Amino acid sequence: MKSPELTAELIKKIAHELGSTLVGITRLNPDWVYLHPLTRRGFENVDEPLEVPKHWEYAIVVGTPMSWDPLYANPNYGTSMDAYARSRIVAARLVAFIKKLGYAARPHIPGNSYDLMVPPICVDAGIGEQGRHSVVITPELGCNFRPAVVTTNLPVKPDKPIDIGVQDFCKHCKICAENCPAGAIATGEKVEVRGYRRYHLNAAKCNNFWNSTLGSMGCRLCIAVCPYTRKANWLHKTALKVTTNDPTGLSDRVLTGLQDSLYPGPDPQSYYIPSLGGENASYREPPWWLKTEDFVDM
Amino acid sequence: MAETRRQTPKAALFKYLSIIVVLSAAAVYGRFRSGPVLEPYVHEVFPEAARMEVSDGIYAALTEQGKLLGWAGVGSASGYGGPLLVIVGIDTEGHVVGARVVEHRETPLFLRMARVSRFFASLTGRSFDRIDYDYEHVVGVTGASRSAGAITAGVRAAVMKIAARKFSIQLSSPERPFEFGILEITLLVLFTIGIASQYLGSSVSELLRWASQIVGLLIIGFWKNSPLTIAKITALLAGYFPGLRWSVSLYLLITGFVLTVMIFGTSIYCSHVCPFGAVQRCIGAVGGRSARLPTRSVRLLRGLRNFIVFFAVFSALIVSKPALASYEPFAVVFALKGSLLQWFLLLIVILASLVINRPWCRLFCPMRVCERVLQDARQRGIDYWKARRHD
Amino acid sequence: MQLFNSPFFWFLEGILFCLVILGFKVWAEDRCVPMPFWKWLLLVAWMALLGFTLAFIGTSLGEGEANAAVKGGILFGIVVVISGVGLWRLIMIGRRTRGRDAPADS
Repeated sequence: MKSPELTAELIKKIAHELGSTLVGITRLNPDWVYLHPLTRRGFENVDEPLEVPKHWEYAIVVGTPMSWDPLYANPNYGTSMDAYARSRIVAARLVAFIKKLGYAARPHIPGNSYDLMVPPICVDAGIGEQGRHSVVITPELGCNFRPAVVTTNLPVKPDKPIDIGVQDFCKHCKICAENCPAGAIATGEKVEVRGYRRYHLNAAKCNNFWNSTLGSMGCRLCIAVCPYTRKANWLHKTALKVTTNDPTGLSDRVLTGLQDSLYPGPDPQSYYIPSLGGENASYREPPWWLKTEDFVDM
Repeated sequence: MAETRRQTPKAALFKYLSIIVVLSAAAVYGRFRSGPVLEPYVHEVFPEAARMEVSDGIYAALTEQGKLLGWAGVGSASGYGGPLLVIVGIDTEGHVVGARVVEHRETPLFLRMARVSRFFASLTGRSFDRIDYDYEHVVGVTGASRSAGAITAGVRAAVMKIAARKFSIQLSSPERPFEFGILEITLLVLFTIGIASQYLGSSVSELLRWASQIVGLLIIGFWKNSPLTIAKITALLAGYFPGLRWSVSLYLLITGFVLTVMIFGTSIYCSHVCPFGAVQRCIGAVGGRSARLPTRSVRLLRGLRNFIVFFAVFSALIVSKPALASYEPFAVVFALKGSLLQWFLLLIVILASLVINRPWCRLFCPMRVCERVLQDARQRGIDYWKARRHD
Repeated sequence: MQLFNSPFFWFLEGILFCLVILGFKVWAEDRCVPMPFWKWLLLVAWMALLGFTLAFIGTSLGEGEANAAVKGGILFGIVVVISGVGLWRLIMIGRRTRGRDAPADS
């Protein structure tokens, strides 16, 4: 390859051409690789700790959004899989492209076929910042995206992490923590986890609720209620511009208050299934084409 | 004033007495309508309990075979609208098995917060001497610090009761710190300014009034959102006096309001402290407030207001939920929170205050009713005293 | 809402807006209301605020957020009305009466 800069430019263009909305590049920090292989793909001694392969030098993150209207109708109508399905196809085709260039590459597809933690790689690659709910918040799509990663030894210029003011915003906002039906999101300060400071997420509680809902399985409510997850129209883009460029933090408070009173959701308890004391509620009404009862005689 | 057409002393006495009788009947009825029935809550905490025995105010939960499962005790604490009862179950090894709110008089919204149930969930399985009473869990979101404090205090009281009587362990109870911060200081300062300007020249007192109203608007309104509401008065009428240590501002507000009306014949709270009064005054200054209301409609609206206030207080007392009496749109202005009805009420009042001088105070405010009653009582007292002296 | 997506609507809207501004200018001259540049600036800012409020209501309805449309409409509507009244009083500053045919309610 002529130069890492040119390669980065090419890779990003190709990723977009292959259907990705977001793309970012970073050097892979080995801390983000799982201790043991998850998928047993390419690793022979599955019970041995995972030794990071030499060619996992760089990580290329691609991401696509989940469909907006079903996303707002979480936890019962949304699905992570629509975006994962798109992102995994992009990642697989990108791997094919890199291999044709003569370098090693492997796709990591969250859900079930990956061997590293994706959110911190997204942060390193400048895709977005990690919020209170542990989900990465991007300037383009808010939290509404699902990533996939390609690890490779193709020499390519890495991106830098970005600062869109999420860290300050999440300190006060806490809307996700208030609305989390499982109570999995912390309301306190950041804590140190294996040497890195982040907000604690009670993954067990999150997983329990995630598996308790009807419909397409899952919850994603923190994504739906996050003030950053609004459709990219002039109104919400302006709000994002204001809060990103306001050093006083005053606009954070005002916008959080507005979000709370203008876009309220149902009582968190009502998201549960009736046998657990809920009403199968959704954050927003589902779009017409997801109302099965209107089309199928039941 | 149209509203205070002087009635004969007998008629006035009859009116006030009948209001007092009706309201206190409502309060008593609301209070004793139903004492809390505790057995179902003990069953919720100990689902496998087949029977229970009460002694010393503590329920012992037993299985069919008579095996002791644990104890459940009730703790109470003063919340925003009145006492709040919490039941806590502790097994024989001293671990919390569950907690529930038995009875409360907070706003319905508060207990619906997932926060509260999450605090209870975090208790489960903990040894009773290792409970984290960190009510940040409950407080942070709602801003209802008194409600949240009451829940943790209720749990603490219940746990201490069981620990002392069944495990013979005296848990220490850290006193809540005396609440005296920026809000209390502001209230003191503003009331002092208001009283002082009763004795000052009109230009100085006018300036002071603007200053104190702006300060009240910013601190009592937008920052702390704690103006005097009819809910706070209703809570006192219902006989709930929250602990002084954490309700200093409440007692300051109410004594300040009552005392200044009784001494000066006019409410210094309304003229110098009330943040919503300041909102209307600022808007009035922009709009010029040139319109005059026809006397007839003013009289009609005031009669309607008096009825609404009476009805709100009466029904809040009947169901024993003082927080329900508040129909003021204060929270909409200062915290963007309120029902759709309150949003529309705010719209009407704000638009009206462009052309009318302080329409909320004159036509809608429940505190004005309280002021009128106090003024009337004061005037009658003075008349009575003068008449006695002339005899 | 097909209407708002059609270029023809926005073409007409632009013409009408120009006419409104022009009409205001003629009215101000006719009533001897002086219009220095700061009044025009404030007027433009207020027009932007009014436009924002209308657009907020429309956008919120379009997003399916009726609650946001009502509450936001009330919130920003209050700001628009209050600042509109304030602006009106500012614009009337320095108004000269034209001798005998001045309106009585000046």
